[in-house]
Amino acid sequence: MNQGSKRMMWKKSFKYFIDLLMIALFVLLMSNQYTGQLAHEWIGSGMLFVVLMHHWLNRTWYKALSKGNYNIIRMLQTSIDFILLLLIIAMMVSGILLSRYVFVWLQPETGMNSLRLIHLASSHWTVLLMAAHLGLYLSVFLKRIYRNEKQAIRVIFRLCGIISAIFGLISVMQLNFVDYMFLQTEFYQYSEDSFVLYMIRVVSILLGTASLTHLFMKLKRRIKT
Amino acid sequence: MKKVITVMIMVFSIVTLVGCGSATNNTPPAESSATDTATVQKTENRILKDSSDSSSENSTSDSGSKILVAYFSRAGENYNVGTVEKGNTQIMAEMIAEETGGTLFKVETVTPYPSSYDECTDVAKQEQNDNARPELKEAVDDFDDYDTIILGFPIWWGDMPMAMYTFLESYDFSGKTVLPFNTHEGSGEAGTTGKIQSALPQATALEGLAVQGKTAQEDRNDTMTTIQKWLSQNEIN
Ligand SMILES: Cc1cc2nc3c(=O)[nH]c(=O)nc-3n(C[C@H](O)[C@H](O)[C@H](O)COP(=O)(O)O)c2cc1C
Repeated sequence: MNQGSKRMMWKKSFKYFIDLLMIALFVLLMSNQYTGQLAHEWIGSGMLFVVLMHHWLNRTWYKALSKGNYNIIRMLQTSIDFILLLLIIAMMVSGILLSRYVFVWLQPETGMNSLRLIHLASSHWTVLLMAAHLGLYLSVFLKRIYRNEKQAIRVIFRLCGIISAIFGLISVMQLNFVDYMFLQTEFYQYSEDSFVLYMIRVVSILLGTASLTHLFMKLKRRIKT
Repeated sequence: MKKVITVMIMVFSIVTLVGCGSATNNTPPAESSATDTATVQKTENRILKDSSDSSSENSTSDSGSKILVAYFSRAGENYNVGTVEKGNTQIMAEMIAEETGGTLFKVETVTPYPSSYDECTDVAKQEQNDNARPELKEAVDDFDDYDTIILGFPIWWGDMPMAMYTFLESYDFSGKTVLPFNTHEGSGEAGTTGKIQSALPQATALEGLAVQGKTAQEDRNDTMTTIQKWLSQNEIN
């Protein structure tokens, strides 16, 4: 292997590592009821760094925006990416201003309640859109895996997708996601689940939504060809 | 470039749609129900005042241990209930004092909290961020005489109001049993039992009772039943 392709490999792996880290941190952020406020703020600060990294590593996306054709799928993809970006900015800015420890010196005099509502709604929207974003790019990742692996892994992945979609849907209902997204409930309700079960729920919601998005894209492509 | 603009328009139309959705869902609590409860309250105020007066003279429960019902509560405009003359937690505290024969004590700060809900959330958040200990107006007489402290408070920003921490740190709780209750609008007890226990390592903090503020304010019979059940579960009464 020559020097150039080796560096490419490294860069790819690093990208995946950052993406995985981002998902892991986000699951922990959604579990703030278990981690406590202080940890929540530090994990959030770490997330800020990882999100910036993700954008830097994928900066070609910005450059490519004005190039090429936009079919429905690309339009959808780009729209979701933009909305997700806005949501993450809203979530991070409100989170920083609400901080009790890490950014406490930034606390504003007023508007805290609105900031709290922005944080509550945007974080729950972000879960679903981040998963959709993941789902829209999943085929690239899966192709790479399927190229080198046996058929069995395909079956396992599909099974994971189906199970997480079902359990994710149940969890979205049980955790009242829609209420938070539309601010039907203004206060976060503490879950009575154990930490582990709660994390499994959030992971299922992420993977389930990603799988459904992936499936939707596949069907869409199939209809076209 | 045209396509980029199209995508941008798509994004913004979706964002604004979402915005409208949440705006319409955010209707303020009905005025009529708020005034209704206010009139009901006026009559109930008098009754409860009488009962609390008599209970303070005779604050020993049947089992012989002395009970203090110390609570924090804020009247005025609040989430989900409109503007109320008596705070949600106070309604519960008075019921509990009536049931147990305990002495009522209201934890009040020297500087009162704004009666506007939004302003109060700002002040409360500021105090929480500063880890403040707001000064209290009055002290409990003969605190040492009480064995059981029933502690009531609303959930503010996922925690007790900071004034409750001032209260907890003002007395010697060693050997006492602390039974917490709270009103909230979704958070439940929000981990407060644990926080009380770590603030009072010498005391025994029991599992608390969490009641939605709107329920305490508007469904008094339900609330009374819940309280009675909770008290007998904890063998107080
Ligand atoms: C400043 C402030 C902060 C609040 N924060 C929360 C919260 O984090 N979670 C919750 O469920 N309810 C919250 N609420 C709602 C109150 O807990 C609820 O209205 C309670 O019943 C008020 O009790 P009171 O009338 O005795 O003061 C908050 C209310 C105020 C005024």
